[in-house]
Amino acid sequence: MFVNRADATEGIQTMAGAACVELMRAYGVELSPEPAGWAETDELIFSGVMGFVGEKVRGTCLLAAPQATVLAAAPPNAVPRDWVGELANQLVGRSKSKLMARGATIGLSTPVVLSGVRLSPLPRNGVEPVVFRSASGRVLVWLEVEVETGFALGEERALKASEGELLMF
Amino acid sequence: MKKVLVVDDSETIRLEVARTLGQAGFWVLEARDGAEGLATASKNVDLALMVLDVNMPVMNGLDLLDRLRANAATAGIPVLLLTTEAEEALIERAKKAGAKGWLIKPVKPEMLLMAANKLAR
Repeated sequence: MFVNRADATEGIQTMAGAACVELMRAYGVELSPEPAGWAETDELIFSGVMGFVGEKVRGTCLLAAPQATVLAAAPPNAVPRDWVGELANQLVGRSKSKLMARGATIGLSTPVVLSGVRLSPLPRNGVEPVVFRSASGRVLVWLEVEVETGFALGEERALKASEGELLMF
Repeated sequence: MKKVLVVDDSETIRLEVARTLGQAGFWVLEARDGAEGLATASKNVDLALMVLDVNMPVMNGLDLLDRLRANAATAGIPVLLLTTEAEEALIERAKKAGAKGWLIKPVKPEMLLMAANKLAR
């Protein structure tokens, strides 16, 4: 039976936050924690949303940032709508690797994207999303998670492959 | 000129692969999902290489790989998976299905080019 546990949400969201820092750094954008949290503004925000499901854990991940931040992490001529979807995809992929290293495997959906102003997360279990600041704007990582009763992350183990790596068969 | 087909639902990824391989002299075709990739491959059986994302709408990259291998006309096209996935079971599935390589995003252009030069027939 799947249950909503604040401690599990917080733990997995923290993993996703670390994954976001690594991901954005790989694309040249440095993030640091934003203690003031997220703020509703009239700035246009782009958001990528992806679901994930496994035997022990399932949920949804949302990545949001202003257009300037999305484009700061993008190759030349990238379209924000497309790139934020790809960033969400790579964020969840990276988070998946972190979960796998702790014994939990998930399957991924494909991203959906939205944009708007005055967007705010409304978490249901009191776990506030992780917010970062960058030179070009704030970045939000928000997970809603359910876990199997008795779920616990295992000891970390090394994986066979990691980001940027090429395996030849 | 060697022809490469990149199949990825991200337009930006397709453009980056096309830019990297195009600058190195490859002729790059694009498809947005596995079904479009299968149709394009069927019309271009002389492809030197296919670069496939895994998680895509309509048909994912591993199902596309299976379909390519099931058709004598496309079975011999070398396939490189370019994906965020690092799950061992998926990597094993691709290996068993005859893929030649698995490259995990984000990827440096020089790594992609090295793989393409090594794998393209």
